[in-house]
Amino acid sequence: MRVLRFVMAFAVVVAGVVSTVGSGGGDNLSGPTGPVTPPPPIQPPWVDITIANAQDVSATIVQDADQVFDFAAMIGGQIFPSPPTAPNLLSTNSKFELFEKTAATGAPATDTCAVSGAVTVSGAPGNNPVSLSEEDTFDLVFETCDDGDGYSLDGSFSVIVNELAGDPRTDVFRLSYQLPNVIVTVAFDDGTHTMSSASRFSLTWDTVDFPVTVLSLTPNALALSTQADNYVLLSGVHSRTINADISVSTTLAEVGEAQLLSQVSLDGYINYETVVPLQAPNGQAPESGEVLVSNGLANETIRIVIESSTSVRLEIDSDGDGTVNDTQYTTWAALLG
Amino acid sequence: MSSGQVLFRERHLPVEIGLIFTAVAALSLGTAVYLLDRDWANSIFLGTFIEYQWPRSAMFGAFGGFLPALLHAYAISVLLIVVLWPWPRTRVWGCLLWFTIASTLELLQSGVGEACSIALERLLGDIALLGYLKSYAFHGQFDTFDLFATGVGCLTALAVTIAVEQYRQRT
Repeated sequence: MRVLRFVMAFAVVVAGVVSTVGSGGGDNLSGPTGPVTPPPPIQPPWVDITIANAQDVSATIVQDADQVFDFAAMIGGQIFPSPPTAPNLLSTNSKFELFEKTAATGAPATDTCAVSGAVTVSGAPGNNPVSLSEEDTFDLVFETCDDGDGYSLDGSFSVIVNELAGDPRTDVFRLSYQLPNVIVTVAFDDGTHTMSSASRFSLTWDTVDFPVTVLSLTPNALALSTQADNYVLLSGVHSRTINADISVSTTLAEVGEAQLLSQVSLDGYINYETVVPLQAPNGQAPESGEVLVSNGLANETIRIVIESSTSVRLEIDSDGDGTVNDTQYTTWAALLG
Repeated sequence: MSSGQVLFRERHLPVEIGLIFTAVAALSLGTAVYLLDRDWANSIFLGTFIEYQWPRSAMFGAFGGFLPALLHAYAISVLLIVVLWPWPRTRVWGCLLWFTIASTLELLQSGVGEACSIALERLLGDIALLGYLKSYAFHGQFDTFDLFATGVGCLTALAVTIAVEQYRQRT
């Protein structure tokens, strides 16, 4: 009888563990209400790194990182003016005017976008949006909204203010907000991209050292896809530093602290870490930086070394013994495809 | 003719049955939060049925954020106490055991789990069970409120058990 009770106790513990893991840990980060989002992907196997596929793997990493920043800029740009304009968020951006209307009337506010389409803002801000504060929540629905930035947005996401330091009506502030329930399609002239998040991710705008503006993106199961590729960013922090000085030559884009797992078009996972920040003139190929790509299971690696804007060296360790088995040369443009 | 006293005692259900009932009720309520308020995509169990999810409500409001962790901790602690009922000392140890396990699971979502699952994968290879651990570690997010709610749930289980026992002893 005693043994039976201990067996039952063990069974209770196992059931408790299974139900905890199976329920996803009980986080309620996507908020209590909102649209249904697609489920997170099942983890595929790690991608084997070989000499033959090194360029394909590297290309996927480069495209992956590039997409993250594109989407971060788009989502941020729909709410905030793009640098180098001085932020002055509350008085210069139509979306914030909608926030204010919503707060004042308690009803959803709709406005037309600059070129075509419309955006509707609703939500439950805790305070007047002129003084944004933590937990203020807004829901945005875009109907083919084209603000003349070269793309249109269709879909919806929420904005939950996480942290605000300084005054967003000036050049100097630090604003962090989360975007739960993202289901957005971005249409360009040459195709569409979709973005969805099973959980929330965070964007932080830091202009404390303006004109240097830092945009950081912390993804949590953020899925990006095009017709050809599918990426899922599961963890890590991406940050982009933009010097909004008029001189283009002083404008830098930087990727740092990235430690990501990515579901790549090779049908598997690859781990990559930006070991030396990438630095590039705005909108151009990076001139320096280093990314270490690795298979999480074995020790196979590719070290992507950016020698210059026209040369990228790939150091491939295909057997995981710590020595370079092959070195290949390519360009950032070629990897981007 | 003999005389004496006869003590009539009111019939009660065993204390354990009553506690099990509260555990089942807690689990049911916690499940309701998931079914009604949560996005099924965040659950490994429910994610499979995502296409059947109806529009989410806000029935539990802000409570929906921590109720499942609290109720689950309460239910598992109570069930452990009931199963180990003959040994009164295990009342405390059962609660502590579950709080330790649940806290560890929550910590796995803090980034520790990602490293652990990768290390385990290196050690054991690509096995199916690890896929669930990886999904849990990578998709979940550490939440101190969940940790706090778990502690409250375990303590509540202990308090309810002691209170019910003392009440029953008095009656």
